[in-house]
Amino acid sequence: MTDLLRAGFSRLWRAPIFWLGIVFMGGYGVIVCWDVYESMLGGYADYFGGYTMYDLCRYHCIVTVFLPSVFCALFLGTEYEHGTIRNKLIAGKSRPAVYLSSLVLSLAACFLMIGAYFLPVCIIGPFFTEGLGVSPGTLALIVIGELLMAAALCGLCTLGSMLISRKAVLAVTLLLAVLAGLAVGGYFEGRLQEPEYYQGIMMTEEGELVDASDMENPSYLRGGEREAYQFAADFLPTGQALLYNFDMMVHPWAMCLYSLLILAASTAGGLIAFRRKDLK
Amino acid sequence: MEYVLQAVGLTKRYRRSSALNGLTMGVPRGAIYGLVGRNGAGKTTLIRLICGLQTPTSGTYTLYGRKNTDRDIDRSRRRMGAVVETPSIYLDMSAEDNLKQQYRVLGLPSFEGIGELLELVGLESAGKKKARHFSLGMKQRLGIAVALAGDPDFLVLDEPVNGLDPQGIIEIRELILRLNRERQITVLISSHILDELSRLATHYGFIDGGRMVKELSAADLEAACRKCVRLTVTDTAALARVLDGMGAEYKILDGETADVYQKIPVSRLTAALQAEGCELIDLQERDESLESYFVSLVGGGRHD
Repeated sequence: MTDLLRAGFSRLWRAPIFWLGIVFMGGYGVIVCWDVYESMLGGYADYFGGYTMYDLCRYHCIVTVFLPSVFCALFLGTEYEHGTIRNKLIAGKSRPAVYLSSLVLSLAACFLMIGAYFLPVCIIGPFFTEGLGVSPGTLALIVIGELLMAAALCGLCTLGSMLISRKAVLAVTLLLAVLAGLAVGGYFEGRLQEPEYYQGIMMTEEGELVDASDMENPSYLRGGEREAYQFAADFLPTGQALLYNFDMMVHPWAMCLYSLLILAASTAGGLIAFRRKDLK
Repeated sequence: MEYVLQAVGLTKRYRRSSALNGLTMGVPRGAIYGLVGRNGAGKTTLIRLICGLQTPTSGTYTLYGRKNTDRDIDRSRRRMGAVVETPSIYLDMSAEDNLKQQYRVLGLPSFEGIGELLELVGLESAGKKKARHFSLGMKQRLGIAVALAGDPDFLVLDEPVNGLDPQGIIEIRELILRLNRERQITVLISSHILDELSRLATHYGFIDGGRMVKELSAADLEAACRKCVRLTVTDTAALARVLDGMGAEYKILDGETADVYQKIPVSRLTAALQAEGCELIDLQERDESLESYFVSLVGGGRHD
């Protein structure tokens, strides 16, 4: 597998999609910093309190969910498109080695792209944010959780890349899957954010205005149903991305565990399926 | 005879179809083995199986003495190179970078020999040009160069001259002959361009409907396709006496027919046969090519 990794990384360093990802995420980090800086100048801090590094470290998550799908479709998908995956197998490399080296490559590429976001954030951010915002331990847990969320997505996208031989089909499938995942995650979160009680004034069917404070919201999730929605939002990597991005994490440790589970399960399933796959 | 590859009862079934049906074959060491068959006969499926891209539904094959089910079959595969259907190359890399990439995959300690390989396939002047800008022939030759990285003893080429212009076909042919003669590389080559194959192959395997119809050496094929006159007579014993008397080379096929492998004066033959009380019923000149041999062998029917 060392040979495959050596070959893979050598290809990665010269892949335009990788550098495009690095530049994009680095640029996104700068834009986020600039946006936050402008908000501070506009008096945001006077009303809502200042931004912290904790905020800046979360704002990449919705963009990050697209990185594995785009990278895997365009970088790993090329192996099938150009037929070069055959060269590895004919040269006597085992299928698990080919699969795992692809996974390591996608993990490395995505982590480096996320790193490219953190670089400007860590250099510029401290100048206008109000400290970390949380304890160093909590911040580390959140950043590790975000990386594990990206790793889970890498596991799923690598699985798709190794099983779908047509690059165009792969690209469309992965992007649609991420969009669908975000939509589903958004729905779960929307339901979870429903207030337990209505606040303010409501208009009745007769057109009367009544004080609606402390009126029970029938859409509010309770009991087992709420737990199931919370579990789904925590479990789905796209749901996690929304939770991180909007600071709605309830079980950060469990989210890390779920990501690891997804990575392990998708890799195990992918290895079995790829071993059986008929390559052309 | 020592075999590089031996297949026994290889069968490959897909969900709705069957590509190989108990194919048995052997590729002798040092041979250029021509796999002949029409489209859909199972040539590419066979190559995919022996390259490890697919697994057989049943049956086995042995590569350099290791069965496909052996754990260390990968070690035998390291001794082979292959171009399956289209050349497997990175289109966004130059010829040299493609070879470097394959050297890394193989775990070779240095890039020594890349220049020699490029020269061998005639791509030494390709420079930094990306493979996507190569002609089909150049891509094919680069594919072969990639397959040759790591110095394999066994080269598998699937339809290597498909879509090439006449010049490209000649270049590939000369390259294959050079590899076989100078580097003693055993070559398995599939093609349905029979004329081209007949200029290369030392052994043939005729495949149809996923089965091996016939395997024979080029010498056997030449004998089978030899120019001859086929005679039909009333008594082949009398014909044999006459032909012996004339010093002709011949082969009695059955009680009425025989092939004579040289020109014979027909009037003298008729007179001599008449003297033996034998009548000449029919006389046909036969000149069978690989193509007509193939057609007569597979003939459009099934071979059960």
